[in-house]
Amino acid sequence: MKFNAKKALRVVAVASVAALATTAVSTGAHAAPKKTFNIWWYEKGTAMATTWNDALTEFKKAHPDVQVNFQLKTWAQLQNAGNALLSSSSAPDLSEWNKGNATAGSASQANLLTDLTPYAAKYKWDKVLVPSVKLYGQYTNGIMGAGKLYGVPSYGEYVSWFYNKDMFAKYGVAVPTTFAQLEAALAKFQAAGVPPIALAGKDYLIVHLAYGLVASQASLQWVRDFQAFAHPVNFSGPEWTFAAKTISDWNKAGYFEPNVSGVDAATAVADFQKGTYPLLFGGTWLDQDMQAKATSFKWGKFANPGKLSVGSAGNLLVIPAKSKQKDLAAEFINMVLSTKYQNELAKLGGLPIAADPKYVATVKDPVALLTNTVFSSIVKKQGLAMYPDWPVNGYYNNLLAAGTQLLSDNDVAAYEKSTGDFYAANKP
Amino acid sequence: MSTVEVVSERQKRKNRSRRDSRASYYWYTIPGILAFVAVIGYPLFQNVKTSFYKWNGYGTPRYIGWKNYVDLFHDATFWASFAHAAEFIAAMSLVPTVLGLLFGALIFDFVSPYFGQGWTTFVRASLFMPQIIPITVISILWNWLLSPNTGVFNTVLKSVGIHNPPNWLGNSHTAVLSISIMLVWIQIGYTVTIFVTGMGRIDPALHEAASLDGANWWQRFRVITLSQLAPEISIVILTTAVAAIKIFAPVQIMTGGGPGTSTYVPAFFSYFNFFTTQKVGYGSAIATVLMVILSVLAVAMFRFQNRKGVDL
Repeated sequence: MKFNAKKALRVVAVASVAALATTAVSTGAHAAPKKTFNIWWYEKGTAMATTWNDALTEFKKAHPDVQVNFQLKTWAQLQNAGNALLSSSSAPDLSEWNKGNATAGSASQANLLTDLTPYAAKYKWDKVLVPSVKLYGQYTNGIMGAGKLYGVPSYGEYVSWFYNKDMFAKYGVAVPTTFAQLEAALAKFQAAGVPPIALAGKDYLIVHLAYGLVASQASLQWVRDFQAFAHPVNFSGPEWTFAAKTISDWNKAGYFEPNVSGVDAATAVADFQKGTYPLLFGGTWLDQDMQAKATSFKWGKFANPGKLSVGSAGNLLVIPAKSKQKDLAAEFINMVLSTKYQNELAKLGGLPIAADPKYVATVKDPVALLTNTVFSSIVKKQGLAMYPDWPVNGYYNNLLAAGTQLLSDNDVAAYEKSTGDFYAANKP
Repeated sequence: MSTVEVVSERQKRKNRSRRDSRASYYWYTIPGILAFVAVIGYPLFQNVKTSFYKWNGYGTPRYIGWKNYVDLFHDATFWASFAHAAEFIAAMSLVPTVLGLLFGALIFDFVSPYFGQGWTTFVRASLFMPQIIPITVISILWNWLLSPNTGVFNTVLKSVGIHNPPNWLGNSHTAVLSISIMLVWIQIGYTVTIFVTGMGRIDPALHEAASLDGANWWQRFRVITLSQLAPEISIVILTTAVAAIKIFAPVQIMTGGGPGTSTYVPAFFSYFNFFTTQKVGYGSAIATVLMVILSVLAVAMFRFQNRKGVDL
């Protein structure tokens, strides 16, 4: 389950040679009349968006006979109407797709995605996609973790604490490495009259904070049970209860603002960027935004203390079953996995899965360095617990609504019941 | 005997010709019927059919009989969503009707005679404005107005010395109320417009006679205006109640059903099952129940209105 970056990096040289060789072969092989190639993704303003755009430019040059139609989608669009889109006649030839049972899993079960195993063999993706990364694209009966390859992850992401270095220095708070230190730091800020955590109770930030606290107490076996239904999960057990109780306690102690359950993500992130709060629990997708907007103070990142962290290989690239250009789609995926574009991802502050380690060592961008340092610390001592909304369809909405309610009334038992009942009612 | 036969023969001929002339009109209903079948009939049939299947939106649906309906009646969230719909009936139908009558009477009896037509039009247009703004835009705007820290409402409340203003949409006890306040604001324009128009229809002689007999404004409003406006009142209550029961957009945009399930309404619950948890059959069953309730309500209200119409 661990995201083994080192192993991934080690095989990079072989993979890149293979990639270049196969690209050369396929670019020389086309002589067909003008074809159309429809490609979708929803990355916008991230390192992935820039990298993929560059790859697409090269792809277009290599295929002057192909009309490339790109459409920018949104995460929510594919989350809510994904399977309907895939089964319609307007399904794309290649798309970014949400990972997990609820999305890619259910699409694979409905035979809406192409099994990429033959392409993986052809392009030797197994050398790039180490098992701990590949599993995010593998599904059996709609359950992630093993089986046929229905999607290809090409980057990593995780959720950690952003902190305001200036405020930490001003109030004499050290970067915490244990949960006790974290709570002591929160108490110190609170005692000084500074509510410590910028949180959005009405948006995804509460879903991630709750699962971050679960993950800090969870074992990899617990994650397997929760995500892949290996064994029943106890929603009143130490992992889930710890999270609900901690959030309720922090809420009562005033570690969030009083009306946190009505705050949305944009507001919470902006509040941190203005320097109002010393801490924000956020994902790597906020890095570029933070770099652009949190300019009035120095900021850093640290991993949430405890066992595991929220995160995974990033979203997948899939070839819908209805794709009319499967070979071209596989060729593009291969470009994204190539060292050239994996290195570019590293340079832009993304988390590549197959960049050249020598190149990564030369990257000077402070945010890229920071992101990679924290990631290594997570990978080294802990592991990734994936995301909480993956196991069952609609779980994100349930976790969000229950999280908002928890911040609104501090009822830990109601939170456990709502999230546990929904999980039980919708699991396969 | 023969006379009777002759009469009946004539009668028959007359009936036939009337039927013939009517038959030629039936052709004109064909576009309407086709449109009805395409836009309402067929989707309705499909929806009812789907509600008897277990289906996730793709692949082969599996017939499960009444199971979706049985599950539905044991689903606490389903009943909670109807309870919230009832609260929205108050917000979209009852309160705007009462306020609409009062505002309408004020406009008709005071603004119009004392301030002139210009002011009357201005007041009516101002009240009607929320009706022409798309509900999506209104919901996003109010989301911002109700934001606990940066919103206009709480900024104003804080500036007048209220240090702990409500966490409008973030608190499960105030979320429905918050959306309701917005809905009242939207709906008043509709009720006022219809009632003011209705008041123009009332014979002024009734008011004059009552005034001469010494009736004050409140008595005239109660006895004359209210009873004369019965048709308008019933149509307003019907249309707004139906709109309230099928309310969706504000909930989807402003709260997503939360906190918890405190703002779930039937249409949102149906959508959630249909698209989010991909229980298409279950979502269809909810939509079917909703359709039956709305139809019963509409028929009952039309009956009531017709009876009232006869009395008048």
